Formats: sequence, structure tokens, C-alpha cells
Amino acid sequence: MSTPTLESLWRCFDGVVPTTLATCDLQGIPNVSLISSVSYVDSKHVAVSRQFFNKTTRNLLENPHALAVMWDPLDLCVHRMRLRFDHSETEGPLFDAMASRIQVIASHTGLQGVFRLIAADVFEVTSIEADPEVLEAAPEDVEILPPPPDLPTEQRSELWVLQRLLAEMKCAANLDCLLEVVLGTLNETLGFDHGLVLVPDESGKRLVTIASRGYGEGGVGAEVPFGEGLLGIVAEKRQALRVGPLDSALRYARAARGRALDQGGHDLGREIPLPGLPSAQSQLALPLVAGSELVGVLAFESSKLHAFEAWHQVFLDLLADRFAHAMSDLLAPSEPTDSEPPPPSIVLPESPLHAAPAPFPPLSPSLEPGLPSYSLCFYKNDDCIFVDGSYLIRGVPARILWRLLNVLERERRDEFTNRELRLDPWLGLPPIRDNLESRLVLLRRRLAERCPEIRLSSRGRGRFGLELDCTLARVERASASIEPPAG
Amino acid sequence: MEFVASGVDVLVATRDENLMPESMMAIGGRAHPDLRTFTTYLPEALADATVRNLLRNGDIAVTLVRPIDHKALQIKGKFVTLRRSTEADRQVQALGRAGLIEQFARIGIPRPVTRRLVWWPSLAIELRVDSVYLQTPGPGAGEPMSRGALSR
Repeated sequence: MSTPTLESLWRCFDGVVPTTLATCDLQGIPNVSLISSVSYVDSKHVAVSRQFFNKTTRNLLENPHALAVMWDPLDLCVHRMRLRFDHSETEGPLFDAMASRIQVIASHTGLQGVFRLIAADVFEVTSIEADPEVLEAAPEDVEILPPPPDLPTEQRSELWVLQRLLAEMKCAANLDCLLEVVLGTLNETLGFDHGLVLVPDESGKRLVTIASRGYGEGGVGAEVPFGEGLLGIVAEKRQALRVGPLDSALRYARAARGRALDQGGHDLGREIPLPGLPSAQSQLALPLVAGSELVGVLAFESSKLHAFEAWHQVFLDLLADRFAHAMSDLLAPSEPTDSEPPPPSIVLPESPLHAAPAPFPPLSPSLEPGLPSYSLCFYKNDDCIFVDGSYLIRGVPARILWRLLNVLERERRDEFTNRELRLDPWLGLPPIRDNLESRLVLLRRRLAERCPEIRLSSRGRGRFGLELDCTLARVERASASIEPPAG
Repeated sequence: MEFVASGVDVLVATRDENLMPESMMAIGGRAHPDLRTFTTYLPEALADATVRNLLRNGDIAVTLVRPIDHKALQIKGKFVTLRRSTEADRQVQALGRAGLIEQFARIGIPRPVTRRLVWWPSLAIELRVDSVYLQTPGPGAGEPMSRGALSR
């Protein structure tokens, strides 16, 4: 059997069966404990996360020798690594990467501030041995390794996939198309069937989902505060994160949470639900950064263990860079210059039109019994709109929709330009990098999910129409407390 | 006792004369009624280094971890005796092994895979319990517990 290399142990680094670390003090008293994560540093070093100062730490300061026993989660093959403690890091890229992962787990368990990385303890790996005798030979009818992914041969080359994605991204005419291309092609080629794209909202403190794949309806509009959960931490740190077996990591953190509560800990925050798949075992999220600006976060998850390998992260890092720049280009204002005249307003006769897709159906209910009707309520203090009592959207997209409906009712005009929205002070768009396009994508998709008879349709570059195949009752109220969909 | 029977991962640590730590997985264990003695079972085929260390210096630590929730305690003590496991020991081991198979299944490791762990024939290691420490991750990990903890 060939000597294993650290690179060949990537599944062991993902955990599932926690690694054990044996140490010994100078009096010769041994100690063995579980450690929450071991990270690959380079071909001769690993790092162990230290969340608590404990007997293992004290032993290592006295006697640097340690033995780590790692288990491959798929076949339980055991690898024994002889280690020599080298140094601890409390800052820098290694520490930041490990701290971010710990922070993700902590935020999922309400343990922010308690379950945090104190140091990354770096060890020199002096030897690695496979220990095949731990396991009896597998019976022939036991399938140990999962079958390889069932992908067509011609689609297995990640370079081919990258080339195809870059070409398709170049052809994307608008942000909607771009989002579909990226999530759709990655699903088709690499089998990433649960994906999200999120963008910062106007506050710059929250992410809002503008595209999702694999979650059915309801994903768009979900919000995540910066710094919370995997997605919020990726946005805050602008750092890609791949989280392996969440169950295992959460179990470890929940054990720590239980201990903290037993010891009278309080104010641990509430345990927030994982975004998307309730049974997620693997997650991968990448910041989308163009220049110095965070334009979004791209995230995938899977209920399979080890769905995302290290090379996936490298591959998606390359893609994310191009994706971010493509998004940035499409989000930049691209309308007629000030010297050009604004698009003509269309003024229609006063009489209401009836048949769908009539541009100006009546806005009050009961006039058109054949059409569906919706009741829209705009809560001014919260900047949010409810449809038939259910949350629809808030923030700038909500104000945009309310403005469009006001204009349609007052002026009988159903065509709008991005430019007039940018010039409208009530909408509160920032003068630079307003991300109007992403707000419109979000609004369009939320409408398609909740009330498809209200549509925003493209009418050329920088122009769009508001189409109603329904009757509307609208009301404005001062305030409401809202709970938008959780991230 | 209930904790041990619930299907725990039993990790045995020893050290050699150069203070190089050694560890291995044992299958099954039991606390004696006096709560001063603990017996665990080392798969014979894997136990050479551990047994050598025990015969030379006797220092031993045994950590018991329940995989599903990471509840853990660690026993520190001194090696007392070593013998081949009997049929009665085998019954104790079989219970511990069955519990471990179920615990591992709950964290995603298929039962047929866990059943492949070598466990028999085994050596019964008896140790004197000097101290018991809380090992569950979190604040307080490493704090001493009373020996009575072994009765729970």
C-alpha cells in the first residue's frame, strides 16, 4: 500500500467521524479528546481549531508530540498522523478561514461569541499511516463507495463547463438571463441542483435573494443579515466558504451550547434555521466581488455528504469573478444620456379596458368579475407591501411597485424608464451604484411567485411596462411589524 | 453505566517512554460497582502498541463519547490487569458494539460499514479510576467530575 499523502485525505478533513487527538503531559499522563475540525495547510502541515483552552492545549505547550486519528466517513478507513505542535496563529489568512467556518456553525446554533476560534494550532505532520487492520474485509454485497456522478462523458471536463458558462454569460442580455444561465448551467453540468444568488439591499447590511433554483417557490426575497449564517458571513468577510458535514459540526457546536447554558450562559441568541434545504449536509458559498464592491453572494447546498470537493471551490472561484463582473456591468446604469429625451408618456382614454392582457384594467375590485383580484397594502413606516395579507416585498422594490401603481392609476401610463425611477427622490435610490436592475429582478420574481397577474415586462433597454390582468384594491397604512421570509 | 451502554465511542490513550502519545478505539466498556475500576476491551489485532505502553508505564486515559451529541467524559487512571476476554465480556462488548452501530448510523455512517470494525477476539483491560473529567465540548470541558459520574 502506498503511503498516504495529506492531499489524499480530503474527506477526512470534512469530519463526520470527528478526529481524535492524543497528547501527553510531562508527567506522562495521556489525554485523548475529539477536535471539531482539522484543516489542510500544506503538504506537511495541518491546523487544528482551538475554541476552548483545555488540557490538550496545556499538554502541547509542555510536550509537542501528538497523534491524530482520522476516519474516512465513507469507508471508515483509519489514518494515523503523527504530529509535532509547531505554533499557534491568532490572525492571518489561515486563522480567518478557520474562524469563518466556526462562525458559521456558531451562528446556526446561537453561539456567537461563545463558540469562536481562539487560535489555529499548526502542526508539522511527521508521518501518516493507513491502518487497514481496523476494518474487516468488506463483504462483496456491501457498497462502500458511492457510484461516480452520472454525467455524460463530454460534460466531465470542468474547463469545458467554464468555457460554456463564460460564453453564455457574455450573451446574457439582462440580469434575469444572467442569473438563469449561471444557476441553470451549473445544475445541468455539475449537478448543483440547489443554488441561490443574493444581493445586498439598499442598507448594505442585509442580503436579499434574487434568484433560486431547486427550492420551488418562495426562495426569492428571503433575507439574511450580514454576519449571520454561512451566507451572511461570506458577505461580511468576502471570503468563500465550503462547509462539509453540517450535522457533525452542528452537533459539536450544540454540545458546546448545552454546556454554555448549563453554566448559566444567557443571551445566546435564537437558533436560526438553515437557509434552503433542511437536510443540507454540504454548503458552498462565494462572494461576488467586482472591483472593491460586493455585488452579491453565490451559494449552493446539497443534502449529500461531501457534495462539494475542494476543486469545486477553486472552479467556482474562477467563475464567481466573471459572474460578479458580468453582474456589475448589467447593474450599471445604461440608459439614455441626459441629452436624450425621456420616453414619451402614453396617455390613455379614461374608460377602463377589460380583456387581458389589457394595459389598463380597472384598479378597483368588483368592476371585472372575470379577473382575479388582489388586495395590496403598503405600510409606509416599514416600506413593505402585503398582498391579501401576506408579505410580498419591502424596501426599494416595494416603493417602486407602489410608485408604478400610483402612476398607472393617476396618469393612466403603463410604460416606465429606469431613468425616471433613478430621478424619483421618493424611491431613495443612491446616486451611485443604485443596483436598480437587481431591485427590478427581485420585484419581478416576487410578483411572479405571489401574484403572477401583475407583471413587469421588458420593453427595450432601460424601459419596462407594468401589465395587470387583475383588479386591485390598494390601501396605505402607517405601519406594521413584518416578518419577511427567513434566510 | 447508562451512558456507556447508550453506544459510546471508547478511545484509549497511552504513551511510551519518550512521552509519545498513542491512541486506539476500544469496543465496549463497563464501570465496576465500586466505581473505582473500569474495564474496556481492545481488539487484540490492533492492541500491540497500547498493551506495550500499559505494561511499561501503566498510564492510561479513556474517553467515552456519544457520537450523536458529543457528550463525553474522560477517565484518567492506572492500568491494573490484562486478560483475554471471556464469553461474558463478549456479551458486554456486543451490547456496546450494537449501540455504537446505531449511533454511527444516526450520524450518517451505514450500519454495514460500522459492522466491519474489528472487535473480536479482544483483550480486557482493567484500570483503576483516579479521576473523571467532563469532556463535552464547551465551557467547563476538562473540569473534574465525581467518580459517581460513572454510575449515570
